[in-house]
Amino acid sequence: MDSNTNVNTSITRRILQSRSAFLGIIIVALSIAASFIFDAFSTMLNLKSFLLNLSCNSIVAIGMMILLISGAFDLSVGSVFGLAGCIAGNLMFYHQANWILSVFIALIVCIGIGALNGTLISKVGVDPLVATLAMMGLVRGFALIIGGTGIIGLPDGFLKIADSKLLHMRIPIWYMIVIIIIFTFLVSKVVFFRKYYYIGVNEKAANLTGINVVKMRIISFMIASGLAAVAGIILTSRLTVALSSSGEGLELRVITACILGGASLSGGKGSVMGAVMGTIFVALINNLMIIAKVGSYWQSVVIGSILLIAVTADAVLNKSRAE
Amino acid sequence: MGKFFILNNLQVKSTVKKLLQNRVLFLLLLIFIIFLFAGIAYDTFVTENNIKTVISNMSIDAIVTIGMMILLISGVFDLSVGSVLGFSAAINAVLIERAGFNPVLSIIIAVVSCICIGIFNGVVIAKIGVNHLIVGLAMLGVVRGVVMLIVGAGITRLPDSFLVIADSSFLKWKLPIWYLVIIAAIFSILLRKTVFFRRYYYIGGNEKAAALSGINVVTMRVISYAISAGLAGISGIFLSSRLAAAIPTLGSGLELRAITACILGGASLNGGYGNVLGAVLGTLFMGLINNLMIVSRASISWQRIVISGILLLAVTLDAVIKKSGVD
Repeated sequence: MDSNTNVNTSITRRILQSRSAFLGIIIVALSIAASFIFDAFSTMLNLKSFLLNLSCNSIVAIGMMILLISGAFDLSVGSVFGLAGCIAGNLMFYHQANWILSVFIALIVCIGIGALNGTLISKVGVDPLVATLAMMGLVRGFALIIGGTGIIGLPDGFLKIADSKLLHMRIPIWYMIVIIIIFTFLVSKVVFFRKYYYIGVNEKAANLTGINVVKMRIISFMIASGLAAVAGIILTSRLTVALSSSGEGLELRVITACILGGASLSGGKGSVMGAVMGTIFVALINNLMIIAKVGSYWQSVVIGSILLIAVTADAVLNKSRAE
Repeated sequence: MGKFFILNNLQVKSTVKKLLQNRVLFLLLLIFIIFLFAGIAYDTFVTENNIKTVISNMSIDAIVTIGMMILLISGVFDLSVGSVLGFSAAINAVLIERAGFNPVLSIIIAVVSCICIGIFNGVVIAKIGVNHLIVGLAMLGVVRGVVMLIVGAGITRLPDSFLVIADSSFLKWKLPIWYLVIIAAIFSILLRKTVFFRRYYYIGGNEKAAALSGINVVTMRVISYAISAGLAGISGIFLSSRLAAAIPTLGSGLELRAITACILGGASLNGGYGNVLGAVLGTLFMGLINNLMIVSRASISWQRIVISGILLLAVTLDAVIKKSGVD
């Protein structure tokens, strides 16, 4: 009897600890319950718009997850997200540049910002929070100057980026799926990316075993900024307008999704699937509240409370395990 | 001759280093430079009216920044202060306008409920051991949501007896400036002279050593969160009194502005550094930059670029100096 309850508690603990499995169960349960209660939920239209809306966020969340695994994070991704669209829009509209070239330049600039972040943090030794906080303001300021009040009249070639369909699904959903598959493979199978877990758990030990921590960190910040820029370009193409305010507050939403998906701010934990599950979960809660016609003000209360409960439960579990 | 020159050069270098490391002096120098150049370039900058406006605008932010500084000295921070500021304004306005409370009573209720939020944050962080960034992040969303639920589109028509709080003048200065002076003086003395508050430096320097030497770190942290939230609550009262309204976005984004001002004023995210004067000067500096942008009719976007650029420069210089000191 005693051993039986022990087995039971260890199983519940394991599910609680594998956050993506836990979230997966909750997401499925919520969806089934919701489809019985609300007719509007389980329609194809709702599912498609649901996936379309979360596609950009989840791409940014994957980049943030890699940073969180290595024990860092980046508050400037929301601004980089906005800047990418503004640079591309500005080049295409005011300078009549070719859309491929414009997108390319926007991505390069944003990856450069990531490299600067990474260099300041790992090489110079500035705290990641302060460095990326400053970069968030700096980049947003430039996005406001470049994008102005918004740029419309973007060329057709650029609008095609997000406005095509493949197998009845809008193409941003496919971008998301491809990026998820690539990074799941990279982070779980490739030695180079596995090193980020090591760095996150113990940076000094990683350094002593010969891992070039500085270079690894710079690369991770470049990936995070690059993915944010890709998502920004996709959203700009989807909305057919480059807005200088797009992506505001995104950094905190994405960190929330990653933490819910099992990342820890002290590093060493998390997975790409966790980032995706966290994003889906937040999007699902928001979607349900819209369908249930709950006031939009409740969204931040509910998401914030869930985050608080999740991390508090985590801390309590960790403490009881330590004792 | 050559030897003398080298010595002199070294002396200059160490003076520059000291100046950069003493952030209060550095900020004073920067503020002086702003006054000098802006005074020459723009007639409207160094006028009594403009200076008074800058100082009364920054005074409410500065009160929140002082609370944030105490947290940063002890090695943590609170992302929810902006929402807490909005919360206190909202509670107060609802009690006065919808429930017909006496302003004094409603202010007390609003500030006390803010202090309770601070105590809750402190308990979750220090007692249970959740990361302070995540708790702040979650509470930022929760409290802001509650604010929006309470005030909706905003509450105006606050009574004159409440508006007096921020609208009166004393010795030709608006009252919020005096509130700031009093609060800054109190906390400056507390942090300099009392053993209790000096312990925050110790906790920020080495939390484990502080706990081992018999300091009750958990209680100290809960108290610091209560102080910070309480100061944010008081600021919310002042701000809604000055604006004669409680709007749902009141104080949003303030948390990052307050942290920026503290870092500019010499705080470090690792704890152990900073003082009240640094917090006030950091806020004043940001206020002056904002004002300068308005006076010079530069695009509003440049404000963020200049302030963020200076923040980035300051922390990068700090890190470089620290590294060269180690080498």
